[in-house]
Amino acid sequence: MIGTLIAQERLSTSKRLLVSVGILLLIATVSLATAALRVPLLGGLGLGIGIIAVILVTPVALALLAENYWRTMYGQQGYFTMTIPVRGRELFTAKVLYALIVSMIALAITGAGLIGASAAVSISQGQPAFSVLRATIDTLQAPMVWFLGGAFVLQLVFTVIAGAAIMSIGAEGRYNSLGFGAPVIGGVIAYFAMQILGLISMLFVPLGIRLTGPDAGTFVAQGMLDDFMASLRQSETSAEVSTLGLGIVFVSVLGAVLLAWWGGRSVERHTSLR
Amino acid sequence: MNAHPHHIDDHTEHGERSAPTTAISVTDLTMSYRGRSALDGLNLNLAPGQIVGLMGDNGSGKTTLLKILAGVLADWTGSVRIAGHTPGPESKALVSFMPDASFLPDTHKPADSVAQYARFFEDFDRRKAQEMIDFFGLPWDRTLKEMSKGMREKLQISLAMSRRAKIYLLDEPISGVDPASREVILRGILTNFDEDALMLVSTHLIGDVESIVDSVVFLRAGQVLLQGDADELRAAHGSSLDALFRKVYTS
Amino acid sequence: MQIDDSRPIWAQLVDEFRRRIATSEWPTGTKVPSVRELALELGVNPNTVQKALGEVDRLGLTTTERTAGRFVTLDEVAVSGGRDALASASADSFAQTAQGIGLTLAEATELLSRRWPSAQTSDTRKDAR
Repeated sequence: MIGTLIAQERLSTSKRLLVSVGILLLIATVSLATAALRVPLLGGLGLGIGIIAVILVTPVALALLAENYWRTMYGQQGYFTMTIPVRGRELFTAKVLYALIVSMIALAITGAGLIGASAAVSISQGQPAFSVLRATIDTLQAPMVWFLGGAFVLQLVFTVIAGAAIMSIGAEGRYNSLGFGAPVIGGVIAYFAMQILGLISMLFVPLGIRLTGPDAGTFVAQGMLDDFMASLRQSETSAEVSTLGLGIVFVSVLGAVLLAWWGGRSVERHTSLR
Repeated sequence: MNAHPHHIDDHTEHGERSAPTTAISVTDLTMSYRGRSALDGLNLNLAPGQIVGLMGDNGSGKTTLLKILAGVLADWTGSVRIAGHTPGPESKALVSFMPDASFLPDTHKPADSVAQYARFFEDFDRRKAQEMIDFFGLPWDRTLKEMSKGMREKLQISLAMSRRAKIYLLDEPISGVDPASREVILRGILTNFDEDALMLVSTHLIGDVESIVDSVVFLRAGQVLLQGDADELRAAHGSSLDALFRKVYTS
Repeated sequence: MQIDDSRPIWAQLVDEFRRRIATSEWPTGTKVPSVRELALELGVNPNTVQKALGEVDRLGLTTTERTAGRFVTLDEVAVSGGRDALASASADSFAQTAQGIGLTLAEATELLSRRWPSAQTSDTRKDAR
């Protein structure tokens, strides 16, 4: 049944997704081409527009997925979806899995688009296509690049799960008189809660990645508390951050697991169509 | 109908059927929306093999009751059994619900909706749906967006009635359609109703369904005000259900 | 037939089915249409049709064979008895109305013979079916 449900998601979203992403990619291609070819006047603008267009692919895909989730679960179409003989958790799982697949593809497209943008910059400067990319990776160093990539993926997974869960929780009977306002408020609350928990965890959880010094890029059993205290002691802000706390990773993972459980439970036990 | 070779039209002995004695059993069902109660300790038992009119004015709890039976409304208290199951996947497999809402995507043509039903409901009879859509004279080449309200309603009825369900819940199936369509829709319902099933049809215009119901349930303020066999009520009160309804509700 | 919502529908159906048998619209020995066909034709609930047919069975105007279905009885006496009952009921109703207007039996009989030919056409049409 999960397979049928995922196929249904594909049917109900693929057209809009393909059209939106297609338009963005068309804009990006044309813009980056003008930048690469140094078309007068347009070239400088083209790079900016191209980068914005490729970056937009991921949030636009997420927005379309969110709209589809809300419409098919809690809009009028919910009257079909919610009478399918499956458990609420199964429904939630299918929707989230599909959204994860789509958002990962979108992120990959954004990544590829950014590489394309760097190539456009290289070409416009008369250098080999990947020279800017190489230089960037050299500056950041490989472990950092992997770390950043992982952070984006984790952040995206969290966003998808949290988005679905918060919409479902917001659609429960006790909040649904607010309409879509309920998940919006829920989203704001979740955002601030994650910021605060993230900050605390980065300070106190003893796991970090060294950013400076000879051992840069290695993991250390240390949070950011030391750096933070040091910067408090020195009145000037000259204190350099030497370690990046990784506690936020745990918070994101735990948050995603908690919200996945809560969201599934919400669909299973508290669905209330208006 | 051909899908039911064992359902001979003329069976006189009702006792031969081995169906459970209650299709729907509701005890002390209470549901409130933000402090305002929609169902207030409702009790109701309905046997299979009949068409039941669920009558009541606006706000009497008809739609709330149907939504709970269909499993799309939670957080109520009391006991609800649908063919022995609490609302959930098991009951949903047996219940065909037609809400008073346009629940199919605007972009669908009838064939898309038929395919969607076929994918999700094992008891869906695709051929029957196609026959009903033809019977209603619906256009196969138009999207729902391009159809009138009456056409959409007929499509939804075609789909809901084409499941070989144990229980059919129809919420205001003939609201907002012209009298000619109403006749056709009622005919469609009568033609496709499986005689071992239970059908619960809500309406606030009793006259519309008067002649097709076996029994009626009158709701008021979230409780059952009156329940009984349609002909027995007519005989006892010497009036149509419509007139009885008016009398009961104005008293 | 026109259903009157203010009277029990099954009783109206019994009257209708008796009329059909008495007038040979359903000739003796022929198969009675199925419950579903009748329900659709009359726009009423199949269970109500079932109940009415049961009553017609009980009156001896039809018989049900388990496998073959339901047939109009071959018993001419029962059928003609049914016709008599139907005619009597109709005559009673006419007589009551006529008395109510103040007609004598002679006047009523005279009226009936005078009006008879004009009612004929609808009768022959019915027989022709």
